[in-house]
Amino acid sequence: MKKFTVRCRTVVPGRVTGEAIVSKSRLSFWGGFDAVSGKVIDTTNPLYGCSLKDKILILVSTKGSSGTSGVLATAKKKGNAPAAFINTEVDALAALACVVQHIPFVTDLESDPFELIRTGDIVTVDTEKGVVTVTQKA
Amino acid sequence: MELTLEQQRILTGERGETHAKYMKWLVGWGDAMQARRLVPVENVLPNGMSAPGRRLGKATDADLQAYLQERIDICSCPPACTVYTHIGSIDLEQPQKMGIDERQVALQRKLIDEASGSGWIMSWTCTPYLIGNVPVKGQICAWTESHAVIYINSILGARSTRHGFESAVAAAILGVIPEFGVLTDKGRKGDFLIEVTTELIDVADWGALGFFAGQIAGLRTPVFSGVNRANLEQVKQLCAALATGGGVSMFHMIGITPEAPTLEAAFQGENPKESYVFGERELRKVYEELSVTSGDDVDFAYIGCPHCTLQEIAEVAVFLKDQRIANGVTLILATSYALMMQARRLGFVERIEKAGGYVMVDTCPAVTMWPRKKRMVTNSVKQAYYSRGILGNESILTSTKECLRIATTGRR
Repeated sequence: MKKFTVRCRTVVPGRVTGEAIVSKSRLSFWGGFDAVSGKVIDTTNPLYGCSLKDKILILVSTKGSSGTSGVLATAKKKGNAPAAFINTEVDALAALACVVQHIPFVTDLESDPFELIRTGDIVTVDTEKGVVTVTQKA
Repeated sequence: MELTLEQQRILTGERGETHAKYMKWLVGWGDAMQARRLVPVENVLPNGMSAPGRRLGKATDADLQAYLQERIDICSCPPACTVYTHIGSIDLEQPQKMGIDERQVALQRKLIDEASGSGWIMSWTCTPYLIGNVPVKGQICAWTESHAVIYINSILGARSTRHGFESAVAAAILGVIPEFGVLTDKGRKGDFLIEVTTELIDVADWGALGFFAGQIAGLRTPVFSGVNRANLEQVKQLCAALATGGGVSMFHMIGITPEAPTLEAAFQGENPKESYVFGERELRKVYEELSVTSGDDVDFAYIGCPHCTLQEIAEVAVFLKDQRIANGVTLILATSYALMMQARRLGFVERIEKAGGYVMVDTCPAVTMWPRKKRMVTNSVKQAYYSRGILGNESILTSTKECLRIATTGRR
């Protein structure tokens, strides 16, 4: 089992550990994610059908509808929100949702997260130290 | 971020807990987006200011009450500037038609009561610019509705970043927003060029261009050349599709966007570093991508994403003059209450209803999560894209006339 740590830039502060879910894509939470089931419903997204509940969500960015922050608010209330966002680009709507829902959000990792992290790896986001720690799954 | 003394006082609770919470959201968001200050806002469009419809799933009375109370608290506060509301989740004129119960209707009426005393304009439309809320060039706005943000930045020259419920509500009450992105001159620079080499005829063609450009753009600003003319209905579809394919805040269309009389102006004196061509092949590809189906029978035709203009309602009414919607097919047109009332006076609504169609107001199928049909035909990229996930139907993107023809035959 390999473990490594990389530096990152904080968008929204916090510390959390969870299982990574990785997709080099963009996702609209409104219309693309069901807050009631916690699953991706955008049929064109590679994560279609996957649960984002308590996951460390690694995407290029969110996109699309202004409903993203509202959908994440409902997801958080129902316990279905992702635990953290690692996005390579910062969409204002994901940033807003994370600020309001206290979901850690980091970007600008010193290595490409799509090369570094695989779905199922255990990832810790720690903005106080300014690092992301990845434990590769066996 | 640097805050004024007054802003710091609000943050520490001198104007009460609610104001402090809103200021905390705006400051946190500003920090996240690397803004340096808060600036005054003149025009706000919050979303989510409606009875929830089906968005909470199975809701208990207590859930509904809590949801309502949060919104009553917000819209009973006098707004700091012009505030209209984005689309709602129920049709308040014909709620029974979409299976919305009395509890939700009562909630919606209660919001109107509260807002009438504070000055909130409960417009419940995604196209407030069609019913008199038309920001002027340079005005700082805080709008939700992703396509309307693009519209006011790119067609009107007003300035708004992409907002969500919390930032728009905070802006409406506090009258300030963090300054970043397209609010600054630098943030409005074009990022890459798209040369349009094919003729865009139907509004759906404009949607196809938007979807293509949005996917390439992501969060960036595309610049279009080769298009010299546009009308309201066309750019409405372009904006909606840009906001579906990507997370665009604005585009430049040379000769049409107020800030882009020339290519040089759009790129602020730099040369485009990246360019693409949108031709016949690219146009066809979007139609194919958004028309993947397992059959040709259609049971749902939808026009009105974004909400119809009066012109669009008139065109449908005229098309349906001597026609009837086929058995088993649902035809829905969605628009604002304001335009529906005008269209009713002019006889358009009656004609559409007589032919078997339904003019929905205040909401749309994707937002109200109804109806559940097998296969939708629509002229809207946005509704074709999202309805698959939200409503579970297959979807076909085609021209307005073809949508209506299919509505009268039930077959593609």
